[in-house]
Amino acid sequence: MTNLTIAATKTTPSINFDAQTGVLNITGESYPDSALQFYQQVLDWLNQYLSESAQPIVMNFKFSYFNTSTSKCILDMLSLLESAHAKGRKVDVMWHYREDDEDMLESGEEFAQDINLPFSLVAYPSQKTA
Amino acid sequence: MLFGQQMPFDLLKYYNDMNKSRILMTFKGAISQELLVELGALVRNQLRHDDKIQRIFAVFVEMAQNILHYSAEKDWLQHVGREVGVGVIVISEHEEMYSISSGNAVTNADAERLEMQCRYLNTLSKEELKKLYQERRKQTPPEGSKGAGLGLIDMARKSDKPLEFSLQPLTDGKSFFTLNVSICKTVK
Repeated sequence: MTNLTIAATKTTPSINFDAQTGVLNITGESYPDSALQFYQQVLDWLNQYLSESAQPIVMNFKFSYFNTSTSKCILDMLSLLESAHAKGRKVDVMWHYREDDEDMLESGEEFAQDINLPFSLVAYPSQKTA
Repeated sequence: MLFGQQMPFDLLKYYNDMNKSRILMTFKGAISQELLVELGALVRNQLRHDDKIQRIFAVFVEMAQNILHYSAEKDWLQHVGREVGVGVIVISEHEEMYSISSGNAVTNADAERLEMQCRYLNTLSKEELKKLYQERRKQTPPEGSKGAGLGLIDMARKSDKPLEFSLQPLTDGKSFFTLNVSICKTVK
């Protein structure tokens, strides 16, 4: 299966899903005009990957900002991973947040509550800009 | 002192009013996704040293996307090749807080729904709002919703005061809906 690679735009994150390693990275900001439309391709790929491969998955979310309709799409992705995990697939979710971004930490905690998956909250250092 | 013809619009008064009210950003008109991005960048630049920047930006995006998708007043934008919503957004700074306000036309049916929703959200504690947000996110979006119907709840969660809202009747079965979210400078 081919990798899913989508470059970031001002309002959509970069998507780097590696089918060989099972490392799936979503990084950046997300507030597109239609989150449902943007994330459909991501959900489609993930669905196919879950059914065609048995590779353990590490799902990295590293958002600096996402809007509420994106939030729904993130939950949709996590739900797919949750079902696969329930059927025995190894899945680890890593939620990366900037160390001083309490709202992003809280968002991660809420997703962790909502789904039954190994879920790690990982702080990364803030880069102060002048 | 006037030279030539009098201006039809008092720009000096407008300028002074904006200074006095400490308006950080204001826009009235058709809000496309592209414009929203540019206005958002402006807001971020003005507030780049403020630790409330993320919350203010988040509320701004929800308000602007609500206008873009749901305003009952539409405008056809030639350069993006589609119709977008028209409204007004103001971000202002006060002694203790920031205000993020939006106004736009809504259908009377939407007006009733919005009023009920805002009243209901204002009765809930932060913990109850969090629960509602999580519950609503698991459900399928409401009819006609392009997002997840979560925007208002998220704004209520981020606001340090109850949501301030008003509905004023317009003609043609429409009302003008205003919403104000307050973000305190000091509250965590």
